[in-house]
Amino acid sequence: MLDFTTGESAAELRGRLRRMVAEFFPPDFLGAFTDDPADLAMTQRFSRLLADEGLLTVAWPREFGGSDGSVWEQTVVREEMWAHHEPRGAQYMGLNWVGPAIMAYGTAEQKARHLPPIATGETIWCQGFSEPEAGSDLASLQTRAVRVGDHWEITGQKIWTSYAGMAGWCVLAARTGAKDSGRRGISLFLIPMDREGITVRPLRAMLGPHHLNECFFDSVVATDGELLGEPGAGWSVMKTALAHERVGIARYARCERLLWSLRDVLRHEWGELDEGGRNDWAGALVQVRVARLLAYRVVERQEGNNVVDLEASQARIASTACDQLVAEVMSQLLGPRSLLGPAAGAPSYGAFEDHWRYAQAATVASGTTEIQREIVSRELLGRQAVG
Amino acid sequence: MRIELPEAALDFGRVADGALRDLGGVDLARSAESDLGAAARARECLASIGLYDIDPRGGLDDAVAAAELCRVGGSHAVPFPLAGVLLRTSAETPFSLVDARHPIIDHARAAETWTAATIEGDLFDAEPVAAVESKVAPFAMTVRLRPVAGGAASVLDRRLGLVLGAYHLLGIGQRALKVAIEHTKVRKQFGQPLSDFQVIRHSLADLSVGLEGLDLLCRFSLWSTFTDTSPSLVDALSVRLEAQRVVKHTLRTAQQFHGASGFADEYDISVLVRHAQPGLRLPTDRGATIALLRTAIEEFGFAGPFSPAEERTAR
Amino acid sequence: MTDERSSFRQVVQRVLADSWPPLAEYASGALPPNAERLRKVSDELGWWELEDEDGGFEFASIAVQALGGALGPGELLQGLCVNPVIAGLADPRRVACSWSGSGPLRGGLAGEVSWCLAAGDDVEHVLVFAEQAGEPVAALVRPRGEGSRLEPMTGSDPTRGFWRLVMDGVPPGEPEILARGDEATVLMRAVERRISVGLALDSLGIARSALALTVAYAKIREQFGAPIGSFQAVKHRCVDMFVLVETADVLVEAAVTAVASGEPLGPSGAASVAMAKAASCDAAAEVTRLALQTHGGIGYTWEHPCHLLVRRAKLNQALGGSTRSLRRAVADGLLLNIPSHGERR
Repeated sequence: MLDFTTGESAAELRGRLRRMVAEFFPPDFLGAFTDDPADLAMTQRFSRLLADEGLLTVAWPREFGGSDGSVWEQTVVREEMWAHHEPRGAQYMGLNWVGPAIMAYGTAEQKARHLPPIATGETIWCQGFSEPEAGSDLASLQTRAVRVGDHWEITGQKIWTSYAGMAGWCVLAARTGAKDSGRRGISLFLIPMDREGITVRPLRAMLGPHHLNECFFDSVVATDGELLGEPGAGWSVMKTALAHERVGIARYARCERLLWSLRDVLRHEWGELDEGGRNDWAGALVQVRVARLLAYRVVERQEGNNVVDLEASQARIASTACDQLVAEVMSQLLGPRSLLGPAAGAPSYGAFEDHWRYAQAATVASGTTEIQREIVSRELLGRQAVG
Repeated sequence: MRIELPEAALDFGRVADGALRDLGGVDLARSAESDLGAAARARECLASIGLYDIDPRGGLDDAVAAAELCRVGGSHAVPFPLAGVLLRTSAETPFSLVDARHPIIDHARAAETWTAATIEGDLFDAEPVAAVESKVAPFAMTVRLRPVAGGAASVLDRRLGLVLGAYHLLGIGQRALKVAIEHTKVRKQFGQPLSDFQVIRHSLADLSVGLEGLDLLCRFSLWSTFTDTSPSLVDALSVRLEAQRVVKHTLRTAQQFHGASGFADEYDISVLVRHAQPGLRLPTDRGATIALLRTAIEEFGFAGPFSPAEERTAR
Repeated sequence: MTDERSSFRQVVQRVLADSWPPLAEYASGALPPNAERLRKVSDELGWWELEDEDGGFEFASIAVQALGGALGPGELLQGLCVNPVIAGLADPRRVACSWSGSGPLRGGLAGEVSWCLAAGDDVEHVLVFAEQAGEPVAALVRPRGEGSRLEPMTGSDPTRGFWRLVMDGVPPGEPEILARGDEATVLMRAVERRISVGLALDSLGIARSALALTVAYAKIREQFGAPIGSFQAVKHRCVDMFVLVETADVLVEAAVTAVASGEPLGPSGAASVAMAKAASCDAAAEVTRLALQTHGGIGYTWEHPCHLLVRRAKLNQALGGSTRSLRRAVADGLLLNIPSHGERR
């Protein structure tokens, strides 16, 4: 029968995580990607601490350094981390999909090499997928991996590569097939970022430092042992990775936390605020719940190993729209204060302004809303994939 | 956590769907505007599949069956007050939520007397007076209210009234999306099906997101109807609000995709749009719903992992 | 548009081309860009005295809108749009005031005045409205006098400087009182309206620039083997943006005309100003948001002005009174002439 409780162990875990975050981070912590390098260092220490407690890879199997936790415990971790400005910093990519992808497609050597340091929070991974000319049309990527003797040489350019400047490793998508081989000719490589021929250029962006980068690959050597999965099988791994990403960020969690903290910030003025604005706040809480339920349904499917592309995309459309709606509602209620940065005495140490900026990118990053709509409508209409 | 409906409820839904389809589906709703016998046929059909054996107040199991029935009934715009009869207060007295200032009940003709309640809980006996004679509310009637001395509608009744009403709208919305998909696949303009046009495709995708979210919210609010021990209506009001938002938009968009045919009654969408209006507007329009919801949230909160109540207990 | 106005528009464009970074290079230096040259040129061209002539505000409005579209310096917005109301009382180049729309200070000339728009802390006076001993006053406060200081306000919009005036012990005789009583209230209303129109003009310029950038980008950016502008979702979005811009344009034009008449604004003039601010600032917030969505990742980077347009548009929307309160004021005005329930005409 229907049941919307996450269970004792998940509730207990939630409390534990909250206490850990509250003890470890100052109240003005807004994530790793600030101008203060201490923030990033703090997230790295916190990741180790989580790893020590078996909470960094809570849902991973024990043999790979996890705790064999349930998908609901994993969901609680995801919600608590995102709600508290992602205190795991740059670990997200490795934990969320690089690790699971290596578990699913990697060789024994790759598992032994890569999974333990992800589970202990020691390595940071980045994802080399997008290119300047291959954004929404990802399958047209042109970075080439050419066979030279017994190895590969990779040349090309990647863009929007989060954490590239601090990452130790990269999952790099390159074309091993012919130029026009589309999604059939893409392969994935696991490459150390300090290998010769790799240059990283940070992109200043409205999301703050370290976030976005350009990466240049100039005849970078890769061995067969660094291929993840079969040559030419990269696209299906990427698709799985992107499906994970669609529910990997519990955006609704931060939305809900901020809506309540807004109420708290405005508690003395609340009664005098415009009724329409307060109604919108109530409506936003409903949208947050809807986004959460859509995400939960995907999690429930994960539990049965049955993730549906359609549902993952629906959840993502709802959660990103929710992010932007909440940003709007908060800025309406707070007025210009909502756009003050932390240094100017902003309410909640600038969390509202931070949220507003991030929300603007929500409908573009890791698959634009337009691409999500294509995926959903393709399923609804029984159509062929585009591109 | 269990979000999927139990197999038994889904089975029951399929049976109800088959029975109503055999009766003509939306055609029955269409004919009901001129044929008084249509409502009786609907009643008979629903009785045969067990409508009168369900007691939605009895617990979540029965309530889920009732909800599924309301959803399926909505998807055929069945010309019968399903939720009202499911929540009847005696064998011949259905239940309806009303706005006491302008009391109107859809399909009021189904009974001589009704039990009516406001969302605030005032309780009345209601007697149908006259049809409202509107194309967008062909079965709605004004009713005369007589207060029940010392009576108050229970929280459970009001929650169920709101939640089952949302299920009814969900069914209508799901049908509207279905007919929109079918229409855009066959209707051609500029030499290609409408569904080849990106704007149409993307709108359909957005509608499906809204309806899937509403479906899950319906399930949540139904569950909380029996698990929330406070006297609050927040969850029930929130699902009514979402149903109003999503279904109104779905109907509007689906009608737009039909072009002029969307206003011709031969097309199901026209019937769905018209017959949905009482459910969308009674007893509260969207503005009234959100104002009630907001006041309720200010008083009782709104459950979620980061609500103040949860923040207190999880520390 | 008259010939005179259209040739002034061309002058403004030439001045901007000469003295202000083009949008494409806007963010390559420090933000906000150095406005010294632009201030000097505008001064030489007499822009600061445009309103000495009848209908001069119409010309000022042309400059203000163009400056908005170029993410121009805040001090010109303040100087050209608001300060003419105190012409002759202080140097308009050195006066700032609050753009927050939060009304007069309740406890006299003490406390904080937020969102004062100025390039740097070279401000000589802050125009402050307050209730003092039950009487409205308008005063010029020296921000570096005894018991007062300016603090920078950093926020999400790096294209302009905003300051917070903190008064914690300004001697009673120190600020120069410009007006008291009704006169002060009239002055405050005039400033509020100028701020509304200024934000509306600035936002309209921003929205136009965002639309132009988006249309240009949609023509050259290719995905799936075709310019993204050939995809219906993008095409229709551009149309939506265009409609928002043009609708706002009509309302802003009406507000400019009302203010430029020089007459005290009646209810319909006041409503027209409120409509312009609400429509234009909402339009710009939405148009820039859609521009960002259409540009994809590149729009978020410093290599592109898109995110700066978004940020400035968003702050404009929040400043000068909320959209909701402005719309309500318009509605209240409309309802004023409707007989209440049961009342006969």
